[in-house]
Amino acid sequence: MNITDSMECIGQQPSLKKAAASHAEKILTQQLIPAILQKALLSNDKIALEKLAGIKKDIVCFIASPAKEGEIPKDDNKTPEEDEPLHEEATLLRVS
Amino acid sequence: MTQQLQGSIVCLGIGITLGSHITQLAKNHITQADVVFVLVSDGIVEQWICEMNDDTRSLQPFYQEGISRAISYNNMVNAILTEVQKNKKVVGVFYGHPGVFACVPHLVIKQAKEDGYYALMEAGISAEDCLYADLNIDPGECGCTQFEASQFMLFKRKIDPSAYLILWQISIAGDTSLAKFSTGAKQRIILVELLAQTYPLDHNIIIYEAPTLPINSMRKETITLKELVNATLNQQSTLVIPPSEKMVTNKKVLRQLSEITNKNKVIHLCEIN
Repeated sequence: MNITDSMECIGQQPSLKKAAASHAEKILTQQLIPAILQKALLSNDKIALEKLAGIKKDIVCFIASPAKEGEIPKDDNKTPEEDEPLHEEATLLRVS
Repeated sequence: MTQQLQGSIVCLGIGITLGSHITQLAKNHITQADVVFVLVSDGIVEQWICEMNDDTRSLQPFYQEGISRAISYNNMVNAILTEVQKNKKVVGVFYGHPGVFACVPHLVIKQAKEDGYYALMEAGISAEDCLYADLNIDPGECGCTQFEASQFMLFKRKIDPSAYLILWQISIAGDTSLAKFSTGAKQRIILVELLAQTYPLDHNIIIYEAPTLPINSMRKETITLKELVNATLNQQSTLVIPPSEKMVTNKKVLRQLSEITNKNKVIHLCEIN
């Protein structure tokens, strides 16, 4: 059984989500999860898991844009419009 | 009636936690596709999808720090549609829900439909769904407003302090370049100042992260609003602000509704007599 198959299997096991470490080890052994993988799983060691799975690249999460391209205000160093009063309380945190 | 072209695109969500949230329908779509494009939140999850279909292509290379995400997303859309136009059965796999905080699936489906192809979105379990379960929050209890964090900062949005406020993508709050993968304390100071116009600085807030791997635990870290400036935030972090005020009764509407009830009672009594 490879790592992703094992992970899928674990993800579908209700008993593992609430199991104590010793019990979880027993369940993983019953599911024929290799010992090296068990160790990484039980210690919640994501780096070891990625190493075992041969993953090298960093993953970027999907990042939604705050608005449509033309609607995003540009940082152009212009002073804010009159309807946008400057926050006098802006020093609130810097002072405290 | 216009004739439907042979190519097709299905954008689906595989949920947040590997193995726990994927549906059998989603699995069937993936295994039966000619080409699968994948954009997920974890390397192991990506590998898991790659093992389901031999022609699985990651959309990750389109992301590059310093390049506007608008360009990256256009390139992702074009890459997917190019395969649809070759009359292939194409599947786009996204983590969470493909239609929540994800423009690519929406753009792909819209364009494919306009071009006469079969296009469908299949729902998935989103981070929002996990948040309600993990934090034991019912958005129906006192209401819930939510914004993308940068949008909340860049535009004048209204906060209801008697409802929950959820800010997504908090780790890149205040990024106007669309080209960064994280922002820092300077932007967060401005965010906290903005929130402090509504909430006290010692108001308890929650940093939440749903687990992507079944071995992980969710992150539920309660801090004060002021502490947000120096909090450890990751790409998956979401900010949850519980209500700071009680709901106020709208007496005018209550009176109007009570008048309707009283009138109906009179009418009902007249009908009986």
